[in-house]
Amino acid sequence: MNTNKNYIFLAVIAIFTFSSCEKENNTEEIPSTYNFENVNYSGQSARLDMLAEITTEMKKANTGSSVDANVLLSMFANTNSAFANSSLNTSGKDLKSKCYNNGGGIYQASTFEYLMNYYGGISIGAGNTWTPGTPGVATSGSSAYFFDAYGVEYTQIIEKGLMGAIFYYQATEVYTRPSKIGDAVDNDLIVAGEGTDMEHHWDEAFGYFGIPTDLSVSNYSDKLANGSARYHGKYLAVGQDAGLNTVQKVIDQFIKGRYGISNKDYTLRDEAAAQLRAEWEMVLATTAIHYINSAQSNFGDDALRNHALSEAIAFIFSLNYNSDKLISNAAIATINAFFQETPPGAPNPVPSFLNVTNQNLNEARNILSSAYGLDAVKDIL
Amino acid sequence: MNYKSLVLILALFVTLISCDKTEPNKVDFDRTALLNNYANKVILPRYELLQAKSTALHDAALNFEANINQANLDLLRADFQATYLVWQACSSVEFGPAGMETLKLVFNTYPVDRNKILTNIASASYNLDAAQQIDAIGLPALDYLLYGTNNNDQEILNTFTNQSAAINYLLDLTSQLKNKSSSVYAQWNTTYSNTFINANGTDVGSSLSLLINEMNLDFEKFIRDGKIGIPLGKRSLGNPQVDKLEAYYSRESLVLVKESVQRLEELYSGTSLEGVNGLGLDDYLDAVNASNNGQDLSLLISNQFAAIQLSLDAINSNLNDAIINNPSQVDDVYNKMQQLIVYFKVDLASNLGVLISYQDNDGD
Repeated sequence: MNTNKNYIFLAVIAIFTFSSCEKENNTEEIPSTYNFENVNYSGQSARLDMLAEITTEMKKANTGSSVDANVLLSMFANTNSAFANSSLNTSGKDLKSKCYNNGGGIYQASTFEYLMNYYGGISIGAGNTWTPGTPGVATSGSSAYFFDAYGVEYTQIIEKGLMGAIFYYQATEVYTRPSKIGDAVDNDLIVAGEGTDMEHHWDEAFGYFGIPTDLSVSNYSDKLANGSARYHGKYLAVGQDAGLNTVQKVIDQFIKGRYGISNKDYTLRDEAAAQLRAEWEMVLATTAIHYINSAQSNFGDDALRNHALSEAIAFIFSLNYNSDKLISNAAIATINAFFQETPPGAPNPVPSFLNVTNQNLNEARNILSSAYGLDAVKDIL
Repeated sequence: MNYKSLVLILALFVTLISCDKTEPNKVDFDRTALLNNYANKVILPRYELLQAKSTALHDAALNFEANINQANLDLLRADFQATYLVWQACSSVEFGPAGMETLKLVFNTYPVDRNKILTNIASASYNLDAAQQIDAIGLPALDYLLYGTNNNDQEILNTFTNQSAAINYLLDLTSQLKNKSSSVYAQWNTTYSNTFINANGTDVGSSLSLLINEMNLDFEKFIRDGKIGIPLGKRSLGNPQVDKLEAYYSRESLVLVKESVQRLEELYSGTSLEGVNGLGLDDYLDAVNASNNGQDLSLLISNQFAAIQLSLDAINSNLNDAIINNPSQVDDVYNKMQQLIVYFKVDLASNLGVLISYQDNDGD
């Protein structure tokens, strides 16, 4: 009995102590990695895994095999048990329902489905060697890429496009916004293994990025090597390698936001949310410039140039998914114009690299670097 | 010995020598001693020297402020060049404290934005630590201020005499370099050396991985591309872009690239600034019997460094002129560097069980 009373006494003291604690901005307590309780982003990890299988499927064309569009579509919607990893088939998650689908002339779920069908169709020609006007595979050394008639690698358009339309879109437009982490969202009821609603939503934004919770600058290269830094987590390397300390900047914001939420410091939360979106956007911008540089370095090599450009334009159009984007619509339109042509009789332009000039690439890069304050480092990205 | 045993032994031997990532761990090599040499004998002294030269540079700027004349401009330029040379020894170790302080960006982002520098001076209002000032600070900004667009000493002296804001900017730039280099040196001198030495594995957070990755990155991106390739025209269809040279205004880029290659070789071989050759990556490669086509990898690398220096020595003018008048010579340097990069990135890294993880062309 005495023991119980002691425990109750201590518990009461504890309750009073903790409830009377001031909400200090005690930065000594902020962890140096994303080390918090009740972090769960399994749904996001599942979706990253799903995109990986879609990509593996698409890349079959690089070795001459045709690709079945129905497989891609099934994987996209998680129907027909299409995944090799059976746990994905039964996960109850899917990519399609989380894909941007609000129109506005931006690639959306229906667009990607159209492209999957298109890709399946042209992949019949995967046994051909690419030439302008003929879908086929272009090679350079040990690299091989399947392009459409216009030199566009739709594996990249679809993979990097879905990264933007799902992962980046969900994080920047949903999970870091008031509907998910605003003051009206519950932040009291802790669900074991998942935290409060507000905490869990922030963890879901984290989960979409593609980095492990113990990521630090010093272990980043190993996280890249073991694959735990993937998708956007992999592209942190672009800014990091240029000396921008990108890895630290991104994880700082993730940590700050979760810390703010868990300690009910909503000023921290909101600062982190805005800054995280800005840092994530910067990852896209630096990566786009990186691929333009790559295309320039390999301008005479069809395979490497078109591959790099396919990546570049996918990252560029992904900038659209964040409504706070720094770059203007007009600037994006100017850049797009370098990378498209309108087939005779067609109502709309299609992506094309057949007429790209080195000057186009300079201009595209300058527009991007100017919009994102990257002029000083654009050559080394 | 019968045929079967021989085949078995050969098979075993082939297996052993074709193993990559696990081999370095099986070899009896003292990684702690290696990292100790790197931290205390190689890297720390470089930062100590960088701090010393940056301090002297700032002092020379103060001296110039006191008396704006040719003699003091010459002294200032001498200290500037000395600092630029020492910087070459620090550029390849941009991890740890230097990485956190983005030291490379602050010290050596080029080409500079001349208009931004002039606007800063005219407005007399700027925050040099702000991200958008990166191309208006550091050694390249000093290069522009001290050598000007046409290297006319009287014009340069007039600029400083007529605008106290220009002198203030000069002092702010040198002060920033002094502070940044002091901070990074202090961190290495107090806690980071131990952190570096203690992370003596080849996996998570290992210093070996950091060292090799940053060395490779600096060599590929900043030396091969930044100092040679981009000015030569490798990104511009062969059209030279001379104004993208390091030390474009002082026309000292050839001196700097030679120094950078020399210091990189010393870093690779664990050699101190005084020339004492301690434990380095070359010794590690020898310990794991790293070879390429039957030749010792360390020998191939050493020969390739020599080949690069030879190709640099063959250039008789500064790079500003050589790129225009003798581009094939500069192209030769580029190609020799490219071969070394292959040895580093492919052979050295895999033999030491370290993955090169920075972005290359293919980010797939």
